[in-house]
Amino acid sequence: MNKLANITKEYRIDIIWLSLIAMTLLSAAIAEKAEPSLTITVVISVIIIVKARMVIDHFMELKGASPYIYHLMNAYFYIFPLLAILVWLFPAQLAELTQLSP
Amino acid sequence: MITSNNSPQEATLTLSPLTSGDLISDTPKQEAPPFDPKRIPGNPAIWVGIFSELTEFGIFFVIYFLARAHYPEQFTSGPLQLHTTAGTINTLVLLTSSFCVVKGIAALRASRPDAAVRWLWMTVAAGMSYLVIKYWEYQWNVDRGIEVNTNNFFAVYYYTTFNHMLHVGWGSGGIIWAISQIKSGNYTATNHSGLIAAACYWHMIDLAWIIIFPLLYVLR
Repeated sequence: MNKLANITKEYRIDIIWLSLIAMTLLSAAIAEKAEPSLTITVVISVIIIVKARMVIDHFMELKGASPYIYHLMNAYFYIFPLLAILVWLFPAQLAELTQLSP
Repeated sequence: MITSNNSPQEATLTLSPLTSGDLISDTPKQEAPPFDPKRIPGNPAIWVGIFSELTEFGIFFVIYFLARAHYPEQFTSGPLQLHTTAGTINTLVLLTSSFCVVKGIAALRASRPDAAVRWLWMTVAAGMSYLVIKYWEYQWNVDRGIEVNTNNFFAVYYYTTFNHMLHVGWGSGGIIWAISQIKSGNYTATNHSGLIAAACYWHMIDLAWIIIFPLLYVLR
């Protein structure tokens, strides 16, 4: 087990890169095959969050850096996927709220 | 890890300049609080830039959501007309470019500047590949009559992706500048905060695309 843990640690960045590639290919497959639905929107939003967290934590190495920068970066990549879900759920209400003419 | 390589000596010199006032003052000299380089990767200025850029992209995303709510048909049919494979390849290229930056930093930290330069040139090559693919994709669109004023979805698509493309262009310039600093010996295993700054900016470009790709190519 220790040997496996050491190997995983040594190749951590490579594994993260491969995971990011796999999630991108999954997104592309969804784009090509799946019919639009709330489930698909949630899955895609979760993929955005997971990919962003991987880049922020491991590529940018922000974990352990300034908490202001770290949390602000993380918040950004939670807010927009959440907006994608909200816009899917309430498009008419959003359109009504942002109508320029009465 | 990224944050542990700023030179403490460099930081002290930056934050504790000796002024003439210090020499003539009767009051006991106040020591500047110890600067913790772990707090801010690269330098504070790059984070002002990164958050400014993310705000700009954030405005594009809000416009996307508003336009999507007002023109749902255009945003349902629009992604189907785009070249998904080109968008996917560009996503893979950008993720790989970010991976190469991380490898380059690791190589420099291991005192292997030649390997670091090779990894960073691969980043630049990936950036150039992205630009070529994006140019080809625009041409492919135009050949099919898809232009900025075709409808609101494509207006959002062109403005957002063109803006992102510009960032890839000058982000590549930042990486080339970091390469020149490594080659000239200015960046070493223990002192390369400028490279970290350029790397963080590059990762930000990658992160922006992580949202742009699903919004424009995947979600319908």
